[in-house]
Amino acid sequence: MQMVIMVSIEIWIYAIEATIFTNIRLFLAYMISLVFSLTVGIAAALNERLGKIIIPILDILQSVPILGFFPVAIYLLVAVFPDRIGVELASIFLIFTSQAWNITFGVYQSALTIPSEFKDLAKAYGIKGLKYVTRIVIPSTFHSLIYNSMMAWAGGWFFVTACEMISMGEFNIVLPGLGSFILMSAYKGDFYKLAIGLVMMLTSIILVNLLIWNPLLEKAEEYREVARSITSPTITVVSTSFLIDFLSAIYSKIDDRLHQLISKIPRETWNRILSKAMLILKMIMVGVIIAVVFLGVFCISKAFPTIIEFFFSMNFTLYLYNALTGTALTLFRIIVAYIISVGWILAVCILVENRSKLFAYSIIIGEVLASIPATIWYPAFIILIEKYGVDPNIASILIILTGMQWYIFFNVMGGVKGIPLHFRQVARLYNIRGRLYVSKIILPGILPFLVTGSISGWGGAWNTTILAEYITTGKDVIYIHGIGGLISRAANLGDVGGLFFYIMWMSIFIVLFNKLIWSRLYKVISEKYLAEL
Amino acid sequence: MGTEWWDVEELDELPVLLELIKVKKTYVIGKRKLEVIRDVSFKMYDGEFIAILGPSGCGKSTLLRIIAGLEKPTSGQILFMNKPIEGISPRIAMVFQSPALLPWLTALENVSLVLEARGMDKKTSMEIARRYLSLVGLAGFENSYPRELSGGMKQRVSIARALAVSPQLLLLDEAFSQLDPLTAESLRSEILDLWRMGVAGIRGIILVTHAVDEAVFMTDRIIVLSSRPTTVVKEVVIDLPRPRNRRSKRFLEILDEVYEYIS
Ligand SMILES: Nc1ncnc2c1ncn2[C@@H]1O[C@H](COP(=O)(O)OP(=O)(O)O)[C@@H](O)[C@H]1O
Ligand SMILES: [Mg+2]
Repeated sequence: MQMVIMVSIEIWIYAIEATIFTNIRLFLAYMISLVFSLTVGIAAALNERLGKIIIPILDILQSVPILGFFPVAIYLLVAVFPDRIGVELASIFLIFTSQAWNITFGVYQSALTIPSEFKDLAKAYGIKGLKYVTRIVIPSTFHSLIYNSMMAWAGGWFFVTACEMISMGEFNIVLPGLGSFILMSAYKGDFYKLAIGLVMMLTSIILVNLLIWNPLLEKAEEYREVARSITSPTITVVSTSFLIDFLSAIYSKIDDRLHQLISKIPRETWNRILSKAMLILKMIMVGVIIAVVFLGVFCISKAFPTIIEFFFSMNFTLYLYNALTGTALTLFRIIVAYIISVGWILAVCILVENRSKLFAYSIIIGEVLASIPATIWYPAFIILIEKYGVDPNIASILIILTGMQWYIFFNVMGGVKGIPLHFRQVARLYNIRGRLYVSKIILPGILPFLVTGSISGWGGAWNTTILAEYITTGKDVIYIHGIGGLISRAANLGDVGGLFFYIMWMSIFIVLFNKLIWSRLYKVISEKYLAEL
Repeated sequence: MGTEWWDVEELDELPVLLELIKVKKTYVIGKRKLEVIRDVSFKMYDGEFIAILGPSGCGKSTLLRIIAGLEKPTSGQILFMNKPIEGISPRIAMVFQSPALLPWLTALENVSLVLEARGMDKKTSMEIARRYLSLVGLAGFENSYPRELSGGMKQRVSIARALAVSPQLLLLDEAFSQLDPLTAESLRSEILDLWRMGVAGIRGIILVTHAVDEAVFMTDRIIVLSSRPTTVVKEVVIDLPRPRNRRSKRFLEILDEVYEYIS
């Protein structure tokens, strides 16, 4: 009896430790994403020339399947750093890449669309430079920043579990964390531990939401302060104003200190420092480019024979055949998942759009569900497929769904909130209801957001196929033919040539797909509907 | 060389505070051209409170924004104290049509921000901001956020902000048009009081409005603008002593006269 209790306490302690590790990883990655998004997003918005360079790069980075590059990142980082540190860095890097682009685009967009009255105010009263950024730009982006951060945090859980257990050919590593804790328990069939792991995960997701995101979102709503939202759509479960006070105190402290520091330096010196810094920055950039080119040339020339040999040993016809058929199948699965997502999300959205309490709860529930990583269903899927003969395509589509639907959900919900109050009032006044109300007021209001969400959602879906078409619990492997599965399999079997080929193929395909389809659609829809608001 | 405002050539008149010479403004939107201001010239003398009156959409705000330096005229010149205006002048402050208060700052911070932007240290700017807030009747509301203030109070904060930078020329863009009639009326008399007391070293006020009654009630002279593309239709001097009685015969006469020009 005593033994059992002892063991169980140890398990709990271990689970808590794992929870802390995972949360630290998430936190570090998020902090890097935050700093990156604010600097890059604001710089791109305020400086047109920078924007012209930054935005297309981000556009490509956003559409590239990050999970596919993860093995590459590990190879590189492990080569430079000791194993554990290398993998830790790779995992933080992976989470960062899953968060940063979305937040950056949000910041960029809202910094670009600062209300003209605020711009006039700043101009007329000479509020410029750092003061303009800290007092006007950053607060203006706050709502989008928090909303996207919330989504990113949920997405982070998805990725953190994916990178706590890595197996690539010979190379197997398990990082201590909740993700690996849950997966290992599941693979071993230890349901007691699995339950503990799930409880810990849900608890930390809910706590972070209630204690951090929800109060911040509430604050952000106040900052928006325009007559275009449901009244008070967030709910306060616990009073967390101390956190807000604390954070804003820190913010204004930093702001003041920075200004003091800058005001102490005379203007001339300051200008000289700035131009020096720009010069140094340029020199560093040139230096880095030269170094990269040299290194590249050196490596290639050194490894040239190997590369040639490798190149010729690659079975291109097989790769090409696989990639073509795989892409077609994957596309089919994503389309099915997309139809399902849009269906249920529109239904929920119509259900809650006029009920502010329900709206707030659905956001929280969505946030929790979105955080549950697809990989924890693997053991269940394997049992379903192998024991009960369920079609593996269904499992695959369900996993894709988990990586796709939440982007759409949160964007559409954000859009619902943005429908101007007077539209609804007009609708009520003239008794516009039912189908007419949905098609003339709700749908046009959310359509641009549906498209934005769809773009992110499809990005998420492509990425998720890497997990969804290669279901593995270590010993059991189910491969479902598709481009994502090809990448996973190549990584797992250590087929570097295939890995390289499939990743490139998929990246190029997605970029083209986005350029040819989504960008055009977005342009048409945003021109037609966004101007009215 | 630079002439000062007091050594003007025409000494038969008061010194000129602001002069607009053949100001034109045409917006180019894609391939379309929108001529907003065709030709506006007028003088404003030191110590004058004038109104720019015109129908909605005729380009009053645009004209005011040009004077404030927020926008460049397509052609023409603006002299402030006999010197051409280049960009934003720290001696000109503007109250916008909407209060344009930052929702994340308190009333006090909204006012002190513009002082800090002028290089004043935080403590002093807070003190001065507090003084101007109480001047516009907002003592006790320093720490309220804009969303907690009524429309009239927000516009008061906006006025306090403009006064706090000690401008010599104050521009009011339909400052009362978004307020309910009672609030608007009390704010009007407060502005007139501030003007009479000579608060903050203001030497001239330009009030942009489409309300004839408001212009006649408050100002010394009305520049009546035509509809777009706008030109000056008439200048009407209002020689009534203050405080003015809206029912007096002369007031109604002037009102009728101005209405004639506007229609
Ligand atoms: N930045 C701009 N670009 C294009 N057109 C403008 C711009 N600002 C104002 N306008 C146009 O100029 C006209 C006059 O505007 P405005 O000066 O605001 O009028 P008022 O203040 O007299 O009502 C309007 O038709 C408006 O659409
Ligand atoms: Mg106007």
